[in-house]
Amino acid sequence: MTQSPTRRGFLGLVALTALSACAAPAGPKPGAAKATAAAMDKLTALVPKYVPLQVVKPDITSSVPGFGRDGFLKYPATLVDSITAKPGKGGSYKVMVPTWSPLPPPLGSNSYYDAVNTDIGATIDFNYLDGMTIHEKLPTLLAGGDVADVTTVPGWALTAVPDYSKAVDGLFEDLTPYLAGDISAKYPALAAIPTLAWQYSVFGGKLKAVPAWPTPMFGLVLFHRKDLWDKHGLTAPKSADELFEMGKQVTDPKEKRWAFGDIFEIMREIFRVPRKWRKEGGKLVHAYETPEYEATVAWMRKVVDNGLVHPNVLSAKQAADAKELFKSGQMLVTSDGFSFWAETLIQMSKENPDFWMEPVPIFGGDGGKPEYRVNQDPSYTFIKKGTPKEKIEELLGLFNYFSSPFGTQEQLLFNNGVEGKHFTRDATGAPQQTELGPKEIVGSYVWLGGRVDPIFESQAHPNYVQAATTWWNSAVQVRHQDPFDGIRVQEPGDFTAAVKPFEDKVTDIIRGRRDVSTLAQAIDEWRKGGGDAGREFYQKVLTDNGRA
Amino acid sequence: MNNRPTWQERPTLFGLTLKGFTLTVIVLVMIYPIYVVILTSLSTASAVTAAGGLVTLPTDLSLDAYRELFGGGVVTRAVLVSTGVTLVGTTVSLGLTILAAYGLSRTNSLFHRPLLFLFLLTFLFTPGMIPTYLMVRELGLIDSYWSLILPSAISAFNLVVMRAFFMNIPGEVIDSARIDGAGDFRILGRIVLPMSKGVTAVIGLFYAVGYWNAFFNAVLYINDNSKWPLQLILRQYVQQGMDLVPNTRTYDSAAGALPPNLAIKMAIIVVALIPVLIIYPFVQKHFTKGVIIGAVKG
Repeated sequence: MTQSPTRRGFLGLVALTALSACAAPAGPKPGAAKATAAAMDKLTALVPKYVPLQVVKPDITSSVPGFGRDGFLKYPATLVDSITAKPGKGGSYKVMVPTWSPLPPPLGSNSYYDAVNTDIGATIDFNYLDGMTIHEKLPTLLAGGDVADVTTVPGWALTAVPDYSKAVDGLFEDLTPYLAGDISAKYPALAAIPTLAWQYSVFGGKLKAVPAWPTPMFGLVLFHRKDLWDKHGLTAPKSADELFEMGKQVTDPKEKRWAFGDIFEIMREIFRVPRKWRKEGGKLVHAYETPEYEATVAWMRKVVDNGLVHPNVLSAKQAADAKELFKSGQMLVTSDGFSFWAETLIQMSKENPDFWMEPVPIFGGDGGKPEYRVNQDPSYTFIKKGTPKEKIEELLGLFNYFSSPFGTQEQLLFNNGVEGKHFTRDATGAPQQTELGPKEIVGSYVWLGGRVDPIFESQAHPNYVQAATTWWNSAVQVRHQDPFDGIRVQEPGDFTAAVKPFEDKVTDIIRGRRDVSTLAQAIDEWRKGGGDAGREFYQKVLTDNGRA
Repeated sequence: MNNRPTWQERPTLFGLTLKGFTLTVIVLVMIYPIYVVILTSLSTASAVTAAGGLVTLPTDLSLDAYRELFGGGVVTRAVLVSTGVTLVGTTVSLGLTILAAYGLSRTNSLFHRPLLFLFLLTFLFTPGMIPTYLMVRELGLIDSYWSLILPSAISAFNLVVMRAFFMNIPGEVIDSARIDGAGDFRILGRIVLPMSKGVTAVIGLFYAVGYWNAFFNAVLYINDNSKWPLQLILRQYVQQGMDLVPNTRTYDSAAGALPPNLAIKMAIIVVALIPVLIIYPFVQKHFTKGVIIGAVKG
């Protein structure tokens, strides 16, 4: 159909062109010609040496250093005073961190700030970036260069800014001279931050940031309603086929009960589809091109064809109410982030005491092992360029303080505030917020530094810590090994743009609007539309990093 | 039998009842959500839980939500900021718009066509976020309340509406004033403005509501949290609990905020709504008149 341009359409087009012309700042297009990646052999020399730090013996010990997590079944009886000398030297700093909470009272009328600032011997004055608009604020902030003394930015927001590496280089101090090598004597808590998180803090060949929230995360976990699963007499599936059969048994539209939500993404991990690329005989094979991917698509289509997916999930473009369907028992298997577990248990403990969910025990699509993907794009804390050496050292001392792990008095103070004021102890000795607590304390000091938090949750189900720690520590053992782990890649725009049209076609296939046999053609179109160019680009990144 | 056309006949009782009923339903549809919002905001937390969400029948009333909202001092301060920005902003905007519209409505004023064209151009081409930001920054307005007012001081749409209205004023009136020796400012102040109360009120309302509801300028230009306007603070209460960064929460952490009480959310809506509701009746009588005249004489 040809369409003659209407006046309205033309005006819209003009406005759009003008907008898009203004939205991208001048300079090289990100990734197009000058896409960069820091060299791997250099990476090791740029970041601190990993030296684990244990202050209190956990009830359950982590399995893989840097990936596993300790578990605490109850709050430690005695806390360690790990930093005895005040780290601050009386400096005063303006700090900007994101928040998703209402603003707390400002410095001067906030007893939590006063208590922490007194303990560290320095004054930190927080200004908050509104978390919901941070992706809109950040490009202007970086373009204008109006950064505070210390700025913390979530990784996903930073990498969305065009040419972020250049902005980071121009605005923030290079921390390599202070932090590279073995720093465990000077900053023991910083040395205990996992290496991968440090590697991602390298921008353009320089260590630019201290990672905040370096705990590796499972972006997606396949959860099931174990309580209802047991009721139907079902056990743990050993393969995708078994899961499908079990799904058939529990699905009953008359009872308003369906087995699955949109679990395609996590099933890819269970079928061992790589995150992006897999190295096969020195060549890169993209996830879409693997037989595992095709198997996942075919399996998912079978599930949809058999009516095992909740109809709301299929009809809504985004499964926005998947969480609610899962909680109400209309949907028995869903995928969500790891934190969904504790969050839901806390919420459901009041409504339904029998509620129990847990990840489907580890299994692979073909009956072998899965490859769960661990995400590692933490947040980054930067120091403003031009800060004098002694101030940088004072700040790093403070960051070391705020990296104090669970089980230290420092962590209790900056996380929970003052006992009797912001929190009281419950019967097990775990801190519970008072009414003042959430009013004065929002995530602030916790952004300055990073620590791998153990699994401990006093409010969730009594079985939670045991179950979660066990699952976590076995899941990290079958984690996906990405050939690009630790390398910061700004990929070509065409390659990124080719993803959406392809995945739309796959969605059509899964939902039954296209035939499975059209997948090969879709892959072909993806290759021509940027996939092959992306392969060359990534191949070069590997060669540059000595990993080819 | 009379020969009057049907629309001049007395409506039947049935017709009247049907109309009355329809209007009542429409009014209820409008009023009911507001009633529910206000009632929920005035209910205690336990009443909200008992109702399973929005409260429709008053049971346990209290001002707790408002006390909580205004307790920290943060919201109270933001109300002052927003009120100040709205008052100053509306004054500045209205003043500038009236002056510009009057100048551009006099067809013999210098360069009025190219100038008008420049104003109209801003309909088509907005400067984009980063250039505007850099401009505001170069003017030294970052963290200044003026950054909330100056970038949006004149709206081309309002200017065009007002200009059209001014052009509608008979030239003879203005000519006679000029013969009596009045200068342009006197003509504007004594003749044109008194004849344009309607459009001035409407445009003023547009500006005031715009300033009251604006939050995005503040997101970009105000880093100092103590200068944030009300809407930005209120947004944070509403969005509390929605966390875009899954990694940032540990569950023993005090940082993990609790989902807000529904009563507080509703109180926020009331706080944001009330000023607009209060001004509206005063401007309403001018409203239809002002907009229609501007629209027809485009």
